[in-house]
Amino acid sequence: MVGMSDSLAAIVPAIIVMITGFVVLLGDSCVPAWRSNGKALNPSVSIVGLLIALFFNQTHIGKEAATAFNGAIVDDPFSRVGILLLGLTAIFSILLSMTYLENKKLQHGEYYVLILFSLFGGMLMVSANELITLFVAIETLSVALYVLAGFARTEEKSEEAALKYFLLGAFAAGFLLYGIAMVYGGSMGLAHDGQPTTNLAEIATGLANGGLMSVSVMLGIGLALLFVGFAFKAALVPFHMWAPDVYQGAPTSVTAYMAALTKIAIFTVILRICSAFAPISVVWLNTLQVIAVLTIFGGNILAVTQDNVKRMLAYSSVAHAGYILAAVVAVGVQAGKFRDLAIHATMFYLFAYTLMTIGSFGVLIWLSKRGRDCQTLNDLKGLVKRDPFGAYVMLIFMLSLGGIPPTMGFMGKLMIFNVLLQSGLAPLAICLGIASIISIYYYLRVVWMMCFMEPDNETVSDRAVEQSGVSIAVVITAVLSLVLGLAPVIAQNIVAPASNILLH
Amino acid sequence: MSTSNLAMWIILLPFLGFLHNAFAGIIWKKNAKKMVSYVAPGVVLLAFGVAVAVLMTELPNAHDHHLIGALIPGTSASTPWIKLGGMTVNFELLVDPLSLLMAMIVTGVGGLIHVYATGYMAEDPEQPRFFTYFNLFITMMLILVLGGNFLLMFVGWEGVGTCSYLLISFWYKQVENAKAGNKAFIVNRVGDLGFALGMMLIWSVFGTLSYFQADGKGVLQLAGAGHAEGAHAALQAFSVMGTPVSTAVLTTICICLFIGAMGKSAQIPLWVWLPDAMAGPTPVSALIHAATMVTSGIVMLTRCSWLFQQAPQAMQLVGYIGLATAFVGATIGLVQNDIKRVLAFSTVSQLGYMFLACGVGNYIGGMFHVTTHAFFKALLFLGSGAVIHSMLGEQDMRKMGGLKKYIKNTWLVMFLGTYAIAGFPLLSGFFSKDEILHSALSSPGNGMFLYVVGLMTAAMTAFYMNRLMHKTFYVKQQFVDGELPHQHHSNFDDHDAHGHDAHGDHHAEASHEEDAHGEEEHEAHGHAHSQVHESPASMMVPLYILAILSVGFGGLMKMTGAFEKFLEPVVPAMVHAEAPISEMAGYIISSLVAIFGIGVAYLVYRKPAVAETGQFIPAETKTQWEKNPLNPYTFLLNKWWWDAIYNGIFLRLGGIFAMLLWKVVDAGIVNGTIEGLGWIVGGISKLSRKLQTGYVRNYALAMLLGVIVLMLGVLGSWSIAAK
Repeated sequence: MVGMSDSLAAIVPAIIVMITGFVVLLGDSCVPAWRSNGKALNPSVSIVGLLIALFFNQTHIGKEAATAFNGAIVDDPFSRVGILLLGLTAIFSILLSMTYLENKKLQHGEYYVLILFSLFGGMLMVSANELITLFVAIETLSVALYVLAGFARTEEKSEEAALKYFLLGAFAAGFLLYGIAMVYGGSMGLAHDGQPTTNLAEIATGLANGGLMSVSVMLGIGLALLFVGFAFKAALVPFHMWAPDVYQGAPTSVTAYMAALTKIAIFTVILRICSAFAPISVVWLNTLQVIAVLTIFGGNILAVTQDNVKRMLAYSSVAHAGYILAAVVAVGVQAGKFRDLAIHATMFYLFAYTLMTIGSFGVLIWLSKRGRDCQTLNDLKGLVKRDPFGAYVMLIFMLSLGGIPPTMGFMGKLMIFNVLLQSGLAPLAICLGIASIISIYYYLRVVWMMCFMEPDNETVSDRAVEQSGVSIAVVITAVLSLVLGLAPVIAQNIVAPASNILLH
Repeated sequence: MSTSNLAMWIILLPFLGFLHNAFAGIIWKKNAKKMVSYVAPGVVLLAFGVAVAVLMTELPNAHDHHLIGALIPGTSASTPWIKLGGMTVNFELLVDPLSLLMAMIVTGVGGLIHVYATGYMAEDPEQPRFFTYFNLFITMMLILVLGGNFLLMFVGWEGVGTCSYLLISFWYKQVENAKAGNKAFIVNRVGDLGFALGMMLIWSVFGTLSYFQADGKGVLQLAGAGHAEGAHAALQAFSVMGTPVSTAVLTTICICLFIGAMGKSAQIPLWVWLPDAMAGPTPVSALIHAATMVTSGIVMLTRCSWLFQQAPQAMQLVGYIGLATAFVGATIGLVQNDIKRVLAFSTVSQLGYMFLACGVGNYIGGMFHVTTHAFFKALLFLGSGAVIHSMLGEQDMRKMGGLKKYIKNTWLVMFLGTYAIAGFPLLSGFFSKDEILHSALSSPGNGMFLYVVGLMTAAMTAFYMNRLMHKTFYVKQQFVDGELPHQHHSNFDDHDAHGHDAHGDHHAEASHEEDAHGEEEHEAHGHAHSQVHESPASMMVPLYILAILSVGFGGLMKMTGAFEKFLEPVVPAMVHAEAPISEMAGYIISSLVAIFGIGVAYLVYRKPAVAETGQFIPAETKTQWEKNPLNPYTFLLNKWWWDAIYNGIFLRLGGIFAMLLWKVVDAGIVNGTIEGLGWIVGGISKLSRKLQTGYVRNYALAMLLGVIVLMLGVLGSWSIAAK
């Protein structure tokens, strides 16, 4: 067993994020000089803290994997890649938020604190190697997000979103916790000392040695309930219904953050769980495939008739969750034979997804003006003439979301296809192909509105004046979406360490 | 394997120039045009400097005559670009004599043409856009020639195609220009498909797309480059799944690649786009459609010469197609009236010569002609551009004549260029053309046939080029000075007309004066006030440099043998048969043929009656002839009815076929299905929207259903698996 200091060393990035959160919280509430400059100080301190955390994370990216806190936390290259993606998401989101909050008169320090705390939760999620720790981490992330969703206190929609998210989240959390209990009960005999356990590494080792016959069916029930909890967080059909309401109601910067952060965190968790349970994949493989197909089609079909871009993007993020899940299930084929390939494709796609989601919500923020959000397709009419720059970057994101070359979304989809075909999940690949065609319709509808329609008097006319933070975030994500699509190997190398996942 | 650190900058400099020009308007605001006119030629000339530096410093130390370099600073040549499912393609450059020669032509001649274009496009309001495309073209062309694998070559290949399209239709407000751009683009698609197929075949046969690899398994290495015992032995030793690569497979690969070359290098049957491509600004015609891009087919063939060497049938096809193109192009060139069209057909014809050289295995001769042709054809195009510029945009030779006294310097360089392409003894074109003809004669089997047709083509070339000179410079003036309409192209006609108004008024006065003073006065003073004026120095200096090269380069290389020695290591040696005549006899015959062509033109156009009208065949007779579609003149004027046949087959029949596809298959079956599906998808979407009630209790119910699905699924699978 490792000592306390070694244990702490394993979660240094998360600790830095948490400390940054406290600094901002205390500074903003207790130091008057800070408070008067909070507009600039809060985001910049947060970003600096995040950069330090990421720097620390990157310097250790290839270091050997280790467990900490008696095996509750694992620090392996897989989790470090997850932390990198989460951290990038947070940085971009803070950049998006700055002026937007000011325009909405929501410029409070708590906002950044909540972002940092939810990020802390997310970081623990990707590092959690034990189910109770995982549960606590998920709740840490969720509670902060509930509050963020309702951050626009004066807006009814925002309040409604927060409440719905909270109620359904509590519902899902119940299933998750019950699932953990069942897994605990069903894991009798898996650990080396014969006691029940919630430690994933012990479960994975036990399953790899004993297989299906060595455990009771209670483990299966537990696993199904775990997936219920995860499916809610990842917004998989039919657990997705909160997503459009919450995405639409929450302030746009929160939506962007939430959409990317939750997806990265929860899919790294699902990857870890699926890898651990790969020896008994026969139990969950088919069911998850069904869920993936439902999600792919459900998300895409529902997105077709949306007139609100935020809502459309919400459904599209449901669809993308389906694509990612399709890659994830390949982990279970032939007891983990294609694990490395599947992890690689999933992490690459999460990277691409982060960039294009943050970017497309970013454009909406960029186009919003004081007191009026840019939300509907109508608001985008004739954009190419009014604001060519905004239209062109939006075009890049729409092409990337639709999976059209030379964008990163295309490469990501190509890699998922590659995994599915190599691991023999061709039917899933076909579904993915058909659904992608449907998705082109609603992505290109945005382009159509921007390029071929004349604005009418209900269109949001001009954007807010000072927009430096948003434009930085949007430009970076757009350029990365293109460059990493043209030279995908750069992104592939960044996510490559993720294949090194510690399971025993 | 040696590496090159400098090579990447040959490509990156023009690329930086491209970025600069693209954003010049944002960076420099009102000074954009000025800055662009410095940066655009500057980066290309700098790139030429880098290429020379590579030649001087890095290439002499190269092991095995080639260097590998990275494309992106800070990476190595083995940095992968794409890695997917067992396929890895690197960002790698190949620097060897061939690629470096092309890089120097592209940046050297290209740089001169850039300088020229700063003068030519000075008045166009969209000059930054022009140079953005122009620098991008140079970048892409350099990727094409310097790329270290087929995929990078393909990137360059498509890139130059795109730039060609953008530049042909640069003045897109005129429908013909846009149509010409489309034609070039669409015809090239056919060729590109061939290239793509060839590339895929190479991938499946050789398992790599790189030319050279450190482990000796690059395509060219497997095909025999650098093997002492010869190419064939190398290929036999290399086998796929136990069986050696068959000649049939190699022939297929080579023919696919050649189809790609046909499109880009305008060979029969894919040559129809090149004459129309002259719709672009003249510097574009000079750079892209004469000196560089259209020769990329020959470069590609030379690059793959080790493969072609194994596929004699493919080589024969190359030779015959080349010969046919040379001949057909020359015949059509005899009767064209647009000055740029004559040059366009001459280009088609000269490209045919180069393919003929490749077909008989004389790759060095082909590249030699590529080089000299780049000089004199760029010179001729730029010269014709100067003529057009001085004629305020007029391109019809029937409306020119007598220009020698107005624009003496332009005449001089054009004269040198014409004699060079005509193969006048001791000028560049003479040596390179003779080299090809002689190797054609000494090729086994059909040598004499190739030689005779080649000579006929050479005679025609000498004739039509001098016809151009006579019609433009020598015969009696066919226009009234001072009454030339302004025909300079621009997308901003209003602006342009306004800009010229003052200019035009000035000339109108001048011509009024001339009328009063009579003919002699006109002769004496006309020059000073004439509407026809010599072009600015920025346009003339490149012409002088090119003229010197057109005159001296060929002889210099032939005498020293430097060119041959330089390229020898990269191509297989030619298989020779004994030539029936000695090299000296060949020189004499070639000289006589060239002088014959020049002499005929002189005799025809110096006849007083002809010199008066500038027309050998009276206009009325021509009108008469044109009514008969089978008349030889009409036949040639209409390009052997090639366009008409294509129109008939591909446009008319294709149109009917497309109509059928559209009305029956598309509108009926496909559209019905898609619309039906769309309707269903939309319907489902609308229905399921109803499920989205907004009530939390309904959402929770849906989740509960999900729980049931998951539970049943997992437990069901469990019970099945447990049995």
